[in-house]
Amino acid sequence: MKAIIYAGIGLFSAATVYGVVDYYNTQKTESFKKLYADEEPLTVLEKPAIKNAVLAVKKNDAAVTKNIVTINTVSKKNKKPAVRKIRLDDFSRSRIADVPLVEEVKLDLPVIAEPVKEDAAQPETITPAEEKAAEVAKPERKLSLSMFSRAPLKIKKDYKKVKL
Amino acid sequence: MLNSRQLTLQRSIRYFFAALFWIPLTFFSLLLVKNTLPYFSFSQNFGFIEERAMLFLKPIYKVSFYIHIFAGMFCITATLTQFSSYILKKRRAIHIWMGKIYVVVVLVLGAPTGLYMSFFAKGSFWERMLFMFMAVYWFYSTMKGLQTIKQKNVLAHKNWMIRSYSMAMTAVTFRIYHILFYYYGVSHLHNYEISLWISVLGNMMIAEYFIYKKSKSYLKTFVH
Repeated sequence: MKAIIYAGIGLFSAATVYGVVDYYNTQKTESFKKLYADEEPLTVLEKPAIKNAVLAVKKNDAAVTKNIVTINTVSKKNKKPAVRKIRLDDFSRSRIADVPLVEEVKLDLPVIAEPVKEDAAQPETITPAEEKAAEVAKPERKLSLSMFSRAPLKIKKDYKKVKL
Repeated sequence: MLNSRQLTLQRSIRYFFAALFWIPLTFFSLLLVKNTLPYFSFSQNFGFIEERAMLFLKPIYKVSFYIHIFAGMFCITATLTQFSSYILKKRRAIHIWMGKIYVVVVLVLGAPTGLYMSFFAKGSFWERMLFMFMAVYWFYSTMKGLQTIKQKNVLAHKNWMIRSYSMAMTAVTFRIYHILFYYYGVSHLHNYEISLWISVLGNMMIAEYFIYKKSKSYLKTFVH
């Protein structure tokens, strides 16, 4: 057993010396400075959803204008903490990627008024755009058994169909 | 003098708390082993490797990593048998052989590779120092554990092995804290650093508490 202790001490000393030398050599390289550099915070941008408001425009009513209301949605980080599920697969020493919650914010954009042409033959009705099911990223922090490691934890994106 | 009912109650409480401690510990230890096994496919598609892609270009780092995870995996499973009083009393040979293998793995494989890797560990200067301290303390406590049993000093051997085990278990406790802080929305780097400090200092404190408790009950035997 003494031999093992001596072997251990020898290896330990070697690891110390080699570690110091290697560290100072590696430190000089450019790629070392980028090691563990934090990635840009993730922002999930969804497609701006444009919804047309509907107005029935009658033929001879000159005063009526067709209003087109555009509602844009923008992504915004939610202040509320993300809903997180514990998944044992993510039981790891690695990075658990943080996926921000996305919240739809309605912007009050000015109403654009278009004068209706006098010679419009038929009463024009703009039907509402069909409700589209858009995929909006709804991030969740799922914890799993595979997270039990030193590796960075993976981003888990859950896409949920949201009716616009 | 306690009657038999009181003694039974005392024993039941002791078993309950032992189960409360060992069941989660065993579960998380085995979980760590389960999550470490895929690394032996030697694939590079693991978050931990991708994050350190530059370091994995060095053969020595790569070899150290695989040796270290093998050693860690082995140590964590081996120690599960070492604290069993049943094995110690009825199957002493298992305890002795597993102990020998544990000591060899720590002294020759786990601690030296851990020390080398600690120079490139994630975090600030202090986190690197903490990793180095862990490697040194793990090595030293294991070595002392071996020396004391060679001197037939069982009590000191137990104490040093508890300390050694507490260092081996930082791998498990770190992951538990890491997951918990992640769950509560702590940013990654802070999470990493906090989990690391808590796991190391926390484990050391828990180990010292157990040693203190054991020593106290041992010293009590001299009173009467």
